Amino acid sequence: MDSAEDSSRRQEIQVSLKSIVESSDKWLGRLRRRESRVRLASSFLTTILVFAAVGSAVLGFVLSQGQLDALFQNANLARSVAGVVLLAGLISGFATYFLLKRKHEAKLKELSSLITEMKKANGVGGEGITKDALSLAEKIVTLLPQLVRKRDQDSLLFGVVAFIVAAIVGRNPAVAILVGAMVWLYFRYETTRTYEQEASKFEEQKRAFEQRKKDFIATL
Amino acid sequence: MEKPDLYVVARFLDIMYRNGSSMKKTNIQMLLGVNYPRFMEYLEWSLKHGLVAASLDEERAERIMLTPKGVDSYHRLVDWIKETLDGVKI
Repeated sequence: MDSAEDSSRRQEIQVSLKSIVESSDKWLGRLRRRESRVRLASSFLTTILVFAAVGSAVLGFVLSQGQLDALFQNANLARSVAGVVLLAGLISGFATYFLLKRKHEAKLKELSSLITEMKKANGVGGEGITKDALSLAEKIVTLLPQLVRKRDQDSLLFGVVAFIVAAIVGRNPAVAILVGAMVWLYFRYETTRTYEQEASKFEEQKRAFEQRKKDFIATL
Repeated sequence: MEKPDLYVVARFLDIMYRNGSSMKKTNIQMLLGVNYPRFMEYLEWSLKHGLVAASLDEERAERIMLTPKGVDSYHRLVDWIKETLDGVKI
């Protein structure tokens, strides 16, 4: 395989493989951005919920002890209690963020290592690049339905976050409910529309991929 | 072997193509990362399908090399992977 034609063909293959690596990298970036948005929304929601829950519990305890006036009269004590409640919310938020980050990274780790391996292999013209590209294609096709499902659950999360943000900023429950519902319905509509289209498309792609594998083997 | 694993076939073709010349069976088997009986099954399958050919060198040792059909299959495989990936939309 030393002819000029082969050398040129080999270069073409390297270019094709480079393009595969680049496309895969873009997909990985897109997946990471999506996970990051979900992570931020989840940790924000956790912070607010824990803050509200701990705050209510503390307030309930103070009320049951008939010490509400005493709490408000002692500014230092009131600030300390508020600080502890806020800290509990923030710690929960950060914990949620990092736990989800670990979970998301673990989910994408296989794909990420595969791309890194492909980059290395492509850089040095090493062996295994073809098999890795094939394995990557299969992993991507397998990952797609899971990602669509995840997106389906996210609409409620974004709706709740929008409701909380609107409630904090607008200080009007009616407006907050309206904003939350609108955001939820928008994402739900988008998700349903996308899900129906993409789910069938992805299933079709997976079937087509399997069929193409069989067909390709049969042509050899 | 009725249903070969496309990943193994792909790696086999990749090794042979990138090496560019004839190779000893043990070298291919090591690079392929499968056990010897499994490697022999794939070698026989590849020989049967005309992807590789066996010959003897001056020391009468058996060497395996990619045939023009094997080279063409490798090119088609890479194009196929690219087409498949291009067709996947997130």
